[in-house]
Amino acid sequence: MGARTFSYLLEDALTSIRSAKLLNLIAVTTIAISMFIFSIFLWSVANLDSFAARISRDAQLTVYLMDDSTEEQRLSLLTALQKRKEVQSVDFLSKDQALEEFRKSLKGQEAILQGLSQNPLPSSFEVRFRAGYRTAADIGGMAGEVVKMAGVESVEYGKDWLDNFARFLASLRLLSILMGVGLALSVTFIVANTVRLTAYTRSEEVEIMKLIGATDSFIKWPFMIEGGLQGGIGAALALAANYGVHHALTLFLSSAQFPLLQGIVLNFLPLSYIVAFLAGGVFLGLAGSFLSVRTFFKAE
Amino acid sequence: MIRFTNVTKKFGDHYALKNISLSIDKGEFVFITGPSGAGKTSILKMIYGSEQADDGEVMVSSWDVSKLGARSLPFFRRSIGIVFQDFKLLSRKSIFENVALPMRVTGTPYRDISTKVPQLLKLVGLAHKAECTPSQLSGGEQQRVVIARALANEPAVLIADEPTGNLDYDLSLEIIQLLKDICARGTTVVMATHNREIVRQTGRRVIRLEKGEVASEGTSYYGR
Repeated sequence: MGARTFSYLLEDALTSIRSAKLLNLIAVTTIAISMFIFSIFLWSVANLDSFAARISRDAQLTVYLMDDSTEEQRLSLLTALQKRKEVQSVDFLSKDQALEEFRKSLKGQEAILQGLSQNPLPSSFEVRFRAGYRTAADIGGMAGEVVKMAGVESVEYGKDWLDNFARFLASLRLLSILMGVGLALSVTFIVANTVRLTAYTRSEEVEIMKLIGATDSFIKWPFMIEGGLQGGIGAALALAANYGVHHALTLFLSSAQFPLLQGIVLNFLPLSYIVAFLAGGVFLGLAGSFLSVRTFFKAE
Repeated sequence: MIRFTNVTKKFGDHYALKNISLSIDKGEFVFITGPSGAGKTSILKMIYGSEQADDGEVMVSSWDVSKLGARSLPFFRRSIGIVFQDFKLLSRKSIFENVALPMRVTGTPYRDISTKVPQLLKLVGLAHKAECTPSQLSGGEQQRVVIARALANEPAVLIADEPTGNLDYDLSLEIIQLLKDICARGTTVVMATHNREIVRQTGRRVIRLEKGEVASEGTSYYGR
């Protein structure tokens, strides 16, 4: 199809939209609402992902050593840890350093340590991880191996918290995928029905076009463009509403009095998500109208 | 130009056309007449490929219309112009766009369309109505727009199905005169009508149908 014909068909689609304003307004609004709900999920997942990346930077494994572990065992353990591909750095914390850190953390209540006849804290290795290996699965897997090594008393890595968060994020992702599929079906359905209604109101026009020698694709394209525009405009409106919610929440958080909420930084959807979201809207609109005109032309 | 050879068309047990053979030459003006249900519209529909013969052969120019597939049909229809009794204009488009439509369909450049459409509208006497919509025009004017649209791609054949059916006598004569002028320029015109007066006035070849068969064939002044 040439650019000249396409511009004519685009104009034809716009004329059709103008002549059935209410029908198109209802369709676009319904699409925008469905896509807005989905965009809120996407936005939540994107923000939780970046939150997860931020906190995983602090993920570490503490390897507590037995009091009677030998120098040789410690050295071989250190070498074994440093050799692993997951490990970024390993720091040794002696019993004395551990007690000193503990004392600092007590802040003014150091007196409770005065009765101790000996240092009860073990020495330990603090292991930090390279990016890409900061997941609960990687850290947990390594902890399982390390705990069996000679001279190791126990390991600690905030297992429950990391696991729970990873599980929560995975369920949220799954939910957004399910919602995405549901939404895709509903948008396709909405567009298909609107375009079918338009096609029925224009069935005489379709017949005239056929009689003067228009090919099926020439007749179908304005309907396809109409569906694509409905999907695209619906997606753009959904994004605009999502941005409104994002902006309002950001303002609320910056002025919040609760210490828990301070320091939370929200990000709007990344550009790649925005582009994919708009393209998805157009695609669903095209798919809906394609299905509709296909059945309409078969029924003709 | 147009040739029907032993063409039969049935709807259930009823014969719309029964073993019809006829031939129309290039540049001819031919009336197809007869009472309602005689098969006039079936003949026209077969010429423009809207109905297929059950038996026999329909040739238009070099096209075997009785064997045309769905893919070829649009391209065949571009070589003929059709005028309907009920006009079949696109109500949401201007008169200019209605006349331009057959050229839009063939991808004609806009500069050619913008030259040709005013010429066609001038030919049918509606140059000043280009920006109107069909509903702003009278019946006779709408029929002239349909004729202009039918001529847009300079067809070799013009098919007119009861083009004066919705018009009064004077307007009908105007339309017939327009069709005669078009025929004089070399276009073959086939017109179905049951208006005896119009046929008498025009004095051209007449094919009269009755119950799906050719009842008589002759030149001019049929029915006197």
